[in-house]
Amino acid sequence: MKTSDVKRSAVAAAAIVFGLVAPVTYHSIRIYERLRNGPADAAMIISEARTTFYWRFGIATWWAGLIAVVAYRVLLNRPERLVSRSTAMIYSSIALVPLLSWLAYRYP
Amino acid sequence: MWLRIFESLHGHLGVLAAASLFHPAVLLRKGQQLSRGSKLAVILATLFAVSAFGGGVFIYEDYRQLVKRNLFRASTQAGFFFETKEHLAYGVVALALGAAVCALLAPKEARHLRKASAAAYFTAAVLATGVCLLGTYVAAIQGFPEGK
Repeated sequence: MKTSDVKRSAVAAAAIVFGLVAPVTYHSIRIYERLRNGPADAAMIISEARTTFYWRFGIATWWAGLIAVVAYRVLLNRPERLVSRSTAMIYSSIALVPLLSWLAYRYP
Repeated sequence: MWLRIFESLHGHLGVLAAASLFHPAVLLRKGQQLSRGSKLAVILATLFAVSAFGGGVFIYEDYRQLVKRNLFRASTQAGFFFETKEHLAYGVVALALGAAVCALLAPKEARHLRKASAAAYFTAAVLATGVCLLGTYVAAIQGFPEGK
């Protein structure tokens, strides 16, 4: 595999890692908020500042970006792992459907 | 009036995004290289998802002030469904963006990466469909008041 192809593959794989990690991190932050503050309450949600959503969005995006960069470095140094990791990404993507749906419903 | 127009636009973009996100999932499922038209489909599907999300963020502050309280008053379940919709929508955008970058950058021989991109698009499409269903239900319960 050419060096440029290895780099492109690593970036492509890191992008998928970002896509998978970002929503999981977002929901982890939400679960932490719920566990700290108690079950969801209509009055609490109405009085929540608008910035809480933006903070969650920003923090999740930042962490996902960081993990994607780490994934890029790892895969750049070990390109032979790309195929096996891609299979794991496929299964992880499919598993995210019920997981995220349940988390979003359980912890609104 | 403008808020109701933007609300309607946001809803329509959301439905368009949900439908169009299935297209890249089908195109990429066998890992084949993308043609020019396929690349356009990938870019457009992702753009629709990002635009729908951006539209929601744009009207979010007004929605909080003018609608949310009345929504919870009308139906607590619908109010919580709005929150659920919000959380799932972020997942849709993150997955769509990641899948788009992967699909467009994956080298010719990297069929496995394009298959991973297809799986991510499929997940985004299913979640987007859920977001649309929840959004439609919430909008049916309570939307922006007339004259806004």
